[in-house]
Amino acid sequence: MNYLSDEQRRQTGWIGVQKCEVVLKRALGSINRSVRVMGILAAGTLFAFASGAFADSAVTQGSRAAGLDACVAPTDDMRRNHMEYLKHQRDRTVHQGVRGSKFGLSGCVDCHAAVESARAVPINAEGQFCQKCHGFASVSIDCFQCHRRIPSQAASLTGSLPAAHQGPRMVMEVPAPEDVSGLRRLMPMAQED
Amino acid sequence: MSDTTEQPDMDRRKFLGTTAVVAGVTLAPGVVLHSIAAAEGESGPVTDEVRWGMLIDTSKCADGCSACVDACDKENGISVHAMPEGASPETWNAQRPQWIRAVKLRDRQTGKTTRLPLMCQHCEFPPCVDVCPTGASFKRADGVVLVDRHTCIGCRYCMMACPYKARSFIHENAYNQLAAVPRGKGCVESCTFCVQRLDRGEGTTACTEACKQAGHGAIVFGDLKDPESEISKQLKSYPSRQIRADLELNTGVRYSNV
Repeated sequence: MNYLSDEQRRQTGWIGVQKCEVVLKRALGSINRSVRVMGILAAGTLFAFASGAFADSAVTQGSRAAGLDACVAPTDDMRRNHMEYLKHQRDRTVHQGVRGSKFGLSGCVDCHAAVESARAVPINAEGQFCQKCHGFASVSIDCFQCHRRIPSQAASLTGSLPAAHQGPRMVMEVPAPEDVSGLRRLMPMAQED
Repeated sequence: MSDTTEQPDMDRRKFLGTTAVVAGVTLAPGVVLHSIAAAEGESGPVTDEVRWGMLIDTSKCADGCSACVDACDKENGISVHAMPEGASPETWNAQRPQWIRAVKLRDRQTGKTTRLPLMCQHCEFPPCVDVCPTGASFKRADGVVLVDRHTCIGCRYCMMACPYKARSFIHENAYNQLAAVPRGKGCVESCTFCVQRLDRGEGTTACTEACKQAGHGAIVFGDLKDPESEISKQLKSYPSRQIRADLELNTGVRYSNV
C-alpha cells in the first residue's frame, strides 16, 4: 500500500482488513488444520494491527458525528453494513411509508456533513465523509443525485435558493379558449356537438 | 381439447385456495410471519384500511389564484433546477416539472368556463403502474400512486399511459432538494398527495391547506374509506364526478361542479 498517504492508510485501514479476511476465508477452505490455526492466528494479528490503525476516527472533524461516541449502530457494524441498512430502509420508507427510522439517509447527512465557516459542506464533495471512503474503494455513490447533500437544518446556513433556481410560476392555463381539442381526450363533456 | 369450457374449474380453485390458506397458517410460525418490530420513533407501515382521496369543488376555484400550485412547489421543492446555459427558455418552461396544473375549460356552446387544479388522480387501477417495465411505478397500500426513483429508468412509458398528463420528467440536475422529497435528473415524478405529511400523520396536503388559507376551501382531502370523514360525507351528499370515468380507473381525486 505504498501508493497511499499515511492519512489515507489510516482512514481506510478497515477495507484492507475486510479483504484480508475474505482472502483468508477462501484459503482456509482447502488447507489442513494446523495451517488453518496458523491462519487464524495470522488473521488475529492482522486484525489487531489494523484496529490499532483505525483507532483514529474517520469521522469528519467539525461534523456533529465527531462529538458522538458511536453511530446508530456500533462502528464496525456500520462500516460493514451501512449499505444494507440504507437499502432496506429505503424500500420500507418508499413502499410502506415507514418514517423516522434510525437508518435513514437524511440521518447520515445531518450528522456527518461538515460545517465550514457557517456553511454546510455537501457530504459527497471531495474529501468529505461519504466521498472520501467511496472514492478510495471505487464505489460510486449515486444517492446524492436525488437526495439532499447538506443537513436539513442547514437551509438557513446556505441562504435561499439562487435566483437561477427559482423559475417562473408554474401556472399553466390550458387550453387556449378556442382550442378544446386537447381537452376532448381529457374531458368528453367539454366537447362541442 | 374439444370439451374445454370458457370458465376455469372453480372447484379446483377453491381447493387450491383452501390448501394455500392452511399451508400458510401451519408453516407460518417462525417462517412466514417474520415481521420487523417497529423501532422507537418509527411510524408503522401504511395499511389498506385507509384510501386517501381528494374532492375539488371547481366552482370555488378562483380565477387567477395559484395558491395550491405555489404551496405544492414549496412543500416539495419543485423549482430546484437551474436552466442550462444556452437552453431555450421556451423549451425549458415547457419541460418544467408540474405536479399540479391549473386547467381552464371552456364549453364552446355555452361559453361557460371552469377552472380546476389537475394533478395525479391516484387511480385505484393506475395505467402508469400497468405499463412500468421496472416496477418503479407503484400504488401504496393506502392508495397513493408513487414512483420509486431507485428503480425508475426514466423511460417515460407512464407519462404516455397517464390519461391526465399528470407526470413530469426531470431533464436537468437538481440541487438543494428538500430532505423529505428527494428528486433528481432522469426520473419521472408526479403528485404524491404530500406523502411525507401523510406519513407524519397530518392527514392533509399542502394544496388543501393553502386553498383553505386563501379563503377558497375548494379542496377537501381525506380518507375515502372512513364514512365519517369530511370527504366521504360530501361525496355522499353532493354530486361529483371522476375525470374520464369511462376509463374505469376509479380515481382518488373527484371533482364537483365540473
